[in-house]
Amino acid sequence: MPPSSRPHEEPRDDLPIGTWTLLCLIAAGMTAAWLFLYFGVFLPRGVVQ
Amino acid sequence: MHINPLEQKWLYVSLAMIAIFLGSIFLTAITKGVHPPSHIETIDSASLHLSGEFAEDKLGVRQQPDGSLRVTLVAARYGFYPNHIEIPADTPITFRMASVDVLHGTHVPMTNMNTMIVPGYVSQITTTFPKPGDYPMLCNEYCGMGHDHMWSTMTVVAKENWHGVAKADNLGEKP
Amino acid sequence: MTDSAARRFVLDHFWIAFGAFGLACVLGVYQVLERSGIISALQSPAVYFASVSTHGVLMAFVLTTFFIMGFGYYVATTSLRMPIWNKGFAKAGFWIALLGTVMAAIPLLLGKASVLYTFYPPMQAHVLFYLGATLLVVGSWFWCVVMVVMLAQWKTAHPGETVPLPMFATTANAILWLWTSLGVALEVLFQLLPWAFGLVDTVDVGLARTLFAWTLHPIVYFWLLPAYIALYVFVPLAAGGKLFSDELARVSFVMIMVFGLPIGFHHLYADPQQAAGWKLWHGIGTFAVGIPTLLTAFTVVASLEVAGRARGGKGLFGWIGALPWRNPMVLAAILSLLMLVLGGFGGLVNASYAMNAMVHNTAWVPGHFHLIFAGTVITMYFAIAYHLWPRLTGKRLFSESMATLQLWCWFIGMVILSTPWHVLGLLGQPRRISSVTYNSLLTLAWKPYELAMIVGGLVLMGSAVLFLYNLFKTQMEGAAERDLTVSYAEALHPVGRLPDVLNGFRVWNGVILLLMIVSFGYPILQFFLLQTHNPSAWGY
Repeated sequence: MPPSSRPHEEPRDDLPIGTWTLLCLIAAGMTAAWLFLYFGVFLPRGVVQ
Repeated sequence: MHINPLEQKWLYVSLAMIAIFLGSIFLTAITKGVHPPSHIETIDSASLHLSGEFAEDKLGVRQQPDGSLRVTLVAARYGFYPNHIEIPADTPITFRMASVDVLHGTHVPMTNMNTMIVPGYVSQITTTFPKPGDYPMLCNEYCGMGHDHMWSTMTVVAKENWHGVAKADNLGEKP
Repeated sequence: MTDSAARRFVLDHFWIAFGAFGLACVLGVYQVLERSGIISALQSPAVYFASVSTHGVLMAFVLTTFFIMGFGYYVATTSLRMPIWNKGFAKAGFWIALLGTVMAAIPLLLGKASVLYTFYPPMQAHVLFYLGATLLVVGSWFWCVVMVVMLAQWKTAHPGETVPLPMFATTANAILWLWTSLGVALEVLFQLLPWAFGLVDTVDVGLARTLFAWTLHPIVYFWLLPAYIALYVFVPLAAGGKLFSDELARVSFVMIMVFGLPIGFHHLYADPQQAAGWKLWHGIGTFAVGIPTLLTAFTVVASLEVAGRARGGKGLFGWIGALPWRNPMVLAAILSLLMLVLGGFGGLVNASYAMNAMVHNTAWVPGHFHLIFAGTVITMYFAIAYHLWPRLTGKRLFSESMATLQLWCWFIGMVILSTPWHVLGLLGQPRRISSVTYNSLLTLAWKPYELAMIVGGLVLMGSAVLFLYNLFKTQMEGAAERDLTVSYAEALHPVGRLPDVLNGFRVWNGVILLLMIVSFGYPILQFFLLQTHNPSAWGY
């Protein structure tokens, strides 16, 4: 059975800063990659409608 | 309802990221008219050869009365007809295509000429080709045992070398 | 779950699912070899397209539906502590679905239904294929009814109480599936079956594709939700922690239901029979349904962070290394989330309206859905299987280290298979071809990627064998496991009373109805107003 005691409290409340940092990095990467694909690959191949 | 402050901030980050994507999409749609091909027009696939627009002698590259270039193609198992076309670079080209039989798709690799051809409907797509060269036009929707072999060729000629093309003689056809 | 008959019922579902999976994996290896062209004796469009059709149906419809039903029965009985409502009804659903599967399998394996798992008209398969597919879906509806009824009965017996999260999510999935499958049901009932039986000569392909698109997007959420359920209710506990937020889990499940349904036109971006305005509307909705996944990522990773820090992880990222990587449930979650980042990004690209022209019907598309479905989703199905097998069979898992090896191999194989596949798409390779015969210079660049994919396929096959072997040995030879109880993760912050909208679905069904009318009403109606010329049946 896993331990059911409360997790050890970080000094700054229960803010998951590792998660926040990791996901912000991923979001930044995805945004950059998307913008590169949209403006750097897709549109230069020819405007389409 | 309790939400952790960092998770709430993450929600705002997510919304901002999506706003950037949608914003780019709306911006290019409004300023450059960037849209997916969406021209709703029906046609009888079984009698294409009889229709004015897709009769054999009307297929290929033609100049329209307003000066624009139109490519009229028929998709049929297993090729696009006519199976070789030449067009100028850096010029908006409008493709109008119809299928005589089943679903097809057509894509010129490394370009944005990519559209479904649905029997019963006319596909219309307008795009430009920045880079001169020889390109294949490939069928990209499963259309039967010969799907692997369904392709035609397209040459994009540099604009300054473009030799012009016959005018369309089908005045009064749909734009 | 103490009722041994119920446990056997769940296992029956799982064995059908994983049996289909095993066969489909063998077909997959054949396909990746055939497509590369390196073994000329294998070349055959007829065999290839029969294989792809069978592989698609087995993986996308049989593996999924049976797994989801079995898992749902397990979650319902254990989280609500109730027996299966109306066992006879539930069994009828199972047998109807199984009959449908066998019925469709016959023409598929004989090459008489080589229309791929999307079966777009006007290419026509043997009528038995359409009948079989119909029965499979109808059988699943029995399961949906059982889930909905069990939840309703529990709520009547526990007025005002909070519905356990596992069952809230499972019922959300059942309701989602009812709404989702309605599209393809309409297509099959009113268009394809009469046409396949010869009662009508022609079929409106534009309408058929529109109805199929209704189903085609939310079906992936039907498949995904059980994986998310495991991420929320099993993984935090397996890591030694608690669920970071129960309320936000419910919010995510509701958002997926509501936004996942009215967005199918991103599958029709390149089609001529729908207007750009509707495509843009569906595109906005497609981006909206990304939000619950982004929220899920935070909630699940934060749960892992809390657990990792409790195990001694220090600093910004030390908690990652401190997690129990040797625990199959935890390892599966980590690998699944990694693939969710990459596959999710691909999904963002696919959603992007006109940018779809860059990837539509290219090899990018199967690359994407293998990564996100065969990768992210199926990895969690493996983890659920490893977690439940001892509790269902009363035997300890044959080998935990084989399970973790299998999960690593699946991940590595999937990366090796899907990365070149995405690249091939950007280089313009079409999907659904059985060989590369274009006499065009630009296709020379494709060869190395195709060869790399073979390696991926072989690694995946090895992984599939390890998975099936482990479960088989567990059931046949495992040491006795006496504790059959299952535990679900506790919430970090105990949940008090929840608003009705996070404890039931009445409001959300109303919202879904409204959104579906707005998003599909006119786009479907137009086919009855337009003068269409419908094609008749074609063979392949």
